[in-house]
Amino acid sequence: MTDLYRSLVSKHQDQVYSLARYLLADASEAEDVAQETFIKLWKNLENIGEAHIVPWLLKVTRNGCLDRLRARKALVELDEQDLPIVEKDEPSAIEGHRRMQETLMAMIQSLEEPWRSLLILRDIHEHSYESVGEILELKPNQVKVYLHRARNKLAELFEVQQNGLTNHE
Amino acid sequence: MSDTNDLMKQVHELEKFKAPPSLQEKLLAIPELHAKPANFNKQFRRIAPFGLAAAAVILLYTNVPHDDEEPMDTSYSYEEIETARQELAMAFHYLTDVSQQAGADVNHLIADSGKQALIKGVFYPILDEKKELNIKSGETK
Repeated sequence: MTDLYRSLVSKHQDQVYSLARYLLADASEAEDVAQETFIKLWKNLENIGEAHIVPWLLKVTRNGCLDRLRARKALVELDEQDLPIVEKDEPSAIEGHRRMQETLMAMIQSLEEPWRSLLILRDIHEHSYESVGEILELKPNQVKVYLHRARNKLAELFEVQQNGLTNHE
Repeated sequence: MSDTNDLMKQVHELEKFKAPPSLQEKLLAIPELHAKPANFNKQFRRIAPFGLAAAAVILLYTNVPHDDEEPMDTSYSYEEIETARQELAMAFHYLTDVSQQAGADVNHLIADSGKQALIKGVFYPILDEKKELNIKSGETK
């Protein structure tokens, strides 16, 4: 049992940590949630079918993160003014790319559920529609429809930010 | 980057975070830290004072005044607080020892998740150590 547990840690720790890191936007809290998730895995390992381990892990991770976000009282809701501004005269292409990534990350983190989780699970971590559905308790068709909406919401947010930037200039 | 497809291409390229090595160590230690010892209830009662002392460390360690400060809660005498402080300090050293034996850093455990980490990361090793001490001393209960 311990060997199985250890192999699961090796295989899935990055996915668990990365999901928590995106949802919480905090490295230390993400580590805490990852630990809590794997403690639950260790205690429930016998009851989880092998095919369901990844969705189970990510579902527990997400729930742990949402609990913490609720406890924070103020969800990570960044308004447009708080988003990093992508300046046009970047010092370098690499720096520009990095800032763009930070902006997108902050925008995704500012979305509400389930849009945020959908984008993180499907578009960043590339889980299958079936897995995402199992994690979020949605049917695969619902995942596709909701994901489409989530992408549109992100695009709208991005456009607002870009327009704000243009007006700012 | 004006349309959604271009934007999503950027989203796909976002970083997937890697778990830091220190986290992996903690995750791999979980089976040892969470192995429930035999006779747990009996053991629990016997080492409860250690647990209480440890919880007190968590709750009070940063609140107990130093020698040159007035006690914050005047319902306790200075001597009582000083005694408590010394006991808590001893308990803290004890926790440090057992947590190091378990491969953990007591400061990190306390800072991370407070009491929860105490129970999970330190309390069980205390049980194990008590059990081992009892075996060494010939005590079979």
